[in-house]
Amino acid sequence: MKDRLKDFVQAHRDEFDSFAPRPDLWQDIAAELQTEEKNVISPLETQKEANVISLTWHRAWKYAAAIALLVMVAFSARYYMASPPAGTLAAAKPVPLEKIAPEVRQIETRYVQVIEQKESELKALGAGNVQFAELDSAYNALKKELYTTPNKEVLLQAMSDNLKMRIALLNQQLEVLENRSHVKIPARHETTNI
Amino acid sequence: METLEYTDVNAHVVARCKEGDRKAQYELYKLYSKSMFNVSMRITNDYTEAEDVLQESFLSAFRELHTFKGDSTFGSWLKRIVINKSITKVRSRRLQVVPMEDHLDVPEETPELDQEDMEYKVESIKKAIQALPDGYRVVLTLYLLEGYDHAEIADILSISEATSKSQYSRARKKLLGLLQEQSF
Repeated sequence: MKDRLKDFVQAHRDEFDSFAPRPDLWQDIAAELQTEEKNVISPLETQKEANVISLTWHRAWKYAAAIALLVMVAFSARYYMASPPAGTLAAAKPVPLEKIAPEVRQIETRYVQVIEQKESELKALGAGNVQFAELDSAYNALKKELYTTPNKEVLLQAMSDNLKMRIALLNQQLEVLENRSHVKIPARHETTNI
Repeated sequence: METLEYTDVNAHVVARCKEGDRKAQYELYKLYSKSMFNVSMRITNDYTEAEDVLQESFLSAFRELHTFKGDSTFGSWLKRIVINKSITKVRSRRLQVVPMEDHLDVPEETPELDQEDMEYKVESIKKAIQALPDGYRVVLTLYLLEGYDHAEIADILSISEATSKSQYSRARKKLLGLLQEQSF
C-alpha cells in the first residue's frame, strides 16, 4: 500500500528538524571531556602503555649505543695493545710494520746505528743520556699514521728527516764537546806543562 | 535513503577525534548536534531531556569511539546512540511506554478519513506527532523520519517485526485522526 504520509514526510524531511539545542551545550560537553581526560582511568592507562612502548624503544637505542661504544673501546684497546708501547727510539724499532712499510726497517737500521754510535761517543766524552722527547713522540705519531695513510712516501720522508735531525743534533753536541775537550786538553797540557 | 546522506566524508575527522582532538570533536558536534537533537526531541518529546540525551550521547560517542569500526557511517552510529538513550529516557519516565500489544485501540472514529484528499502540512504533522502517546510516537518517527525499516525498529525496541508494523499502522491512523481534528 502506498504511504502518502511517508512520501510527504520524506519530501519535507529537512523541515522536520526545526529544533536546536541551546548554543552553549558544547561548552558543557567540552568541559566534561576535559575532566574525563584528566580523571578517567582508561585513557590514562592507554597513555601509560604508549609511554612504556616508547620508553623501551628509547632504552633499546641507549643499549645499542652503549654496546656500540663498548665494541669500539674494545677494538681500540686491542689496537693500542698490539702496537708497541711508545718509548725510546730503540723500543720503537721492532715493529710489525714491515708488511705495511718495509722501508721503515731500512731507514731505522741505517740511521739508528749511526745515532747509537754517536750517543755512545757522547757518553764516552762524559755527556749524559740524550733525550729526544719531542722527536720521539713525533716519530711515533708518524709511525702510527703509517697504518692508515694513503701516502706512505711523505710519511717515510718525514720519519727519516726526524732521524736525520737527531743525528744532526748529536753531531752538534759532539762538536761542542770535542771543541771543549780540545780547548781543555791544551789547557791541561799547559798546566801540566807549567 | 538516510544512509545516503551520510557519506563518510568524516573519516579523517573521526580519526582525529580518536586521538582526542577537541577541534575535531567540535566539528562533529557542529555537524550532527542539530539533527541528533531533533531525533531525540521527537522520541522524548521534551526539550530538557533531549538536551540531556544530546550531551550524554556525544560524551559516550567520544568515549567509545574506539569501538566504532567504521562499518557504518559515524552519523548513523551516533544516531543509534541518541535513539537508545532517548528511548531509555522515555522508558524511565514510567509513563506507559505504550503497552505495545494492547494499547487502547485507536478509536475507529473517522476511519479511512480519506487520506488521499488530505492536505499535509509540515507544521501540523509535527504538532500531531507531539500529541501522540510515547509508544506510537517512537515507532512512527523511527519509521517515518529516521528511515529505519521494521526489522531495524524491532531490533532497536526489542520487539518483533510484526509488532513494529502493527504499531506503526496504529500510530499512523492516530496521527491522521489528529490531523483531521486539527483541520476542523
